[in-house]
Amino acid sequence: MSLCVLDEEKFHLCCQLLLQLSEQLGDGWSWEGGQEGYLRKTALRSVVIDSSSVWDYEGGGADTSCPSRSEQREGEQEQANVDASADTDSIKGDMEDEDEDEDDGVCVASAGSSQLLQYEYHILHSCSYSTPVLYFRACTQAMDLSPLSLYSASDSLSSA
Amino acid sequence: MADDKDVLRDVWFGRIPTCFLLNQDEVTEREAEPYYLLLPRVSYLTLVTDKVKKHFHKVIRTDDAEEMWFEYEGTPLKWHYPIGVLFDLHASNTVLPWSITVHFKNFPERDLLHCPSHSVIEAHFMSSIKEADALKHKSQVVNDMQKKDHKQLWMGLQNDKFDQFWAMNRKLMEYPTEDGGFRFIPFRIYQHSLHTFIATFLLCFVPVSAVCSYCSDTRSLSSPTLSDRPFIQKQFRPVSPEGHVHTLGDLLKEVYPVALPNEGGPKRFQVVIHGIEPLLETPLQWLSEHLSHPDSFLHICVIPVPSD
Repeated sequence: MSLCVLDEEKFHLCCQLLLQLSEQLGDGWSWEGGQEGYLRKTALRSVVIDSSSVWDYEGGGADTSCPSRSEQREGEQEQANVDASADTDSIKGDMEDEDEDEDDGVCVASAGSSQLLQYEYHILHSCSYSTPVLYFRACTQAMDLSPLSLYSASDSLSSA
Repeated sequence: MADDKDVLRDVWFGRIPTCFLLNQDEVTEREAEPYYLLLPRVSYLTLVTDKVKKHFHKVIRTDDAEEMWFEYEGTPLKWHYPIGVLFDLHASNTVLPWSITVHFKNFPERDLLHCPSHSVIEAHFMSSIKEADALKHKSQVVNDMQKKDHKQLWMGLQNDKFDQFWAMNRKLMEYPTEDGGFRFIPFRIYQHSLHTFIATFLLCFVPVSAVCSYCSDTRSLSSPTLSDRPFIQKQFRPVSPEGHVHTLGDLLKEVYPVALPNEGGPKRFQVVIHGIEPLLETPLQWLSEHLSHPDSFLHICVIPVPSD
């Protein structure tokens, strides 16, 4: 298994490129935290939520015998977006190939069983794995920001 | 060495006498007796407190009861930190038993992660082991293990089986002799500090296990302060390229010099691992091999010297 590494300097370079592209496309990414900060984006989506929001994780830790599937791009000039994958062991379902290039359509809370959800994404550099890591959070618009259960959110997340 | 093996056992079997008290605001059908338990330093609160839940469920209205959570003197206790770390950080210089308040309502969403099952703890634990091995061995050792080997590590911790755990864990503690140690030492330095909005906000993120890494990743180049992150974690070698063996003192000087006394000045902080203050001259590699938690990390607490 070849170990791809992205050192912090290269990560910063890629982030700056992504930010430039994001600004051109109106994609909403920003940089937080100064010198050693992270990429951030929030988004609102109207989605249909499964009413049975039970956090059922009977599978235990993810298949721990696989090598790390973290992927990252090298600092290519023409890259359209950073394909940052999350840590293999994170409790996230099948999030590895989430496409960062989201379309920012108008968001309307439709009637019926759909809800307005707030998503927040952070991409930062992991010093342990020398790769970018994606962190995300999905919660209802309510002020208490109670996080959604994994399974009720995963369907909407992969399309977000 | 026979002595070193004893250290491994002493670390594993470390216990904290604890008294669990039900929050006074909980509505009870009769008086709630406190529940006493010896908590393993190396385990996690939600893994070892099923009996506590059973005990208090007998007296509260279980229809209303939500997920159990713990608090010490107003601070919600993060279950994803090892118990020993929580104690050293919050209560180390107080009289035993450690008094923890038990809650079944008003779960502090901003401060604590949910823990709906033991699988969640397992995922968090295994993720820490894998991260530690990424630092020690570029993940080679943990990736060469089979799924049943990983399971053995978890079962060893869950069932308090020292031999079962170390039969597998010893592989994670090996290194090529010519290297003189691991590639980097997995460590986290905590300081008892004020809860800020940023730190609590970070805790709301999924994935559970990666929250810790997340917090450590957002570090600053200037002298690190812990006011806006729960701990410090960086890449640090056990041996310098010139062959100089790094000590605990070397580590602190490099990543958290505030913890060390100024030249000739008074000692302001205690550097605590598993409830003791190792000598600053102790080689870091030795500490990593013998005083790590089962998750393979050296959890180091920096606390103010008691004023009395």
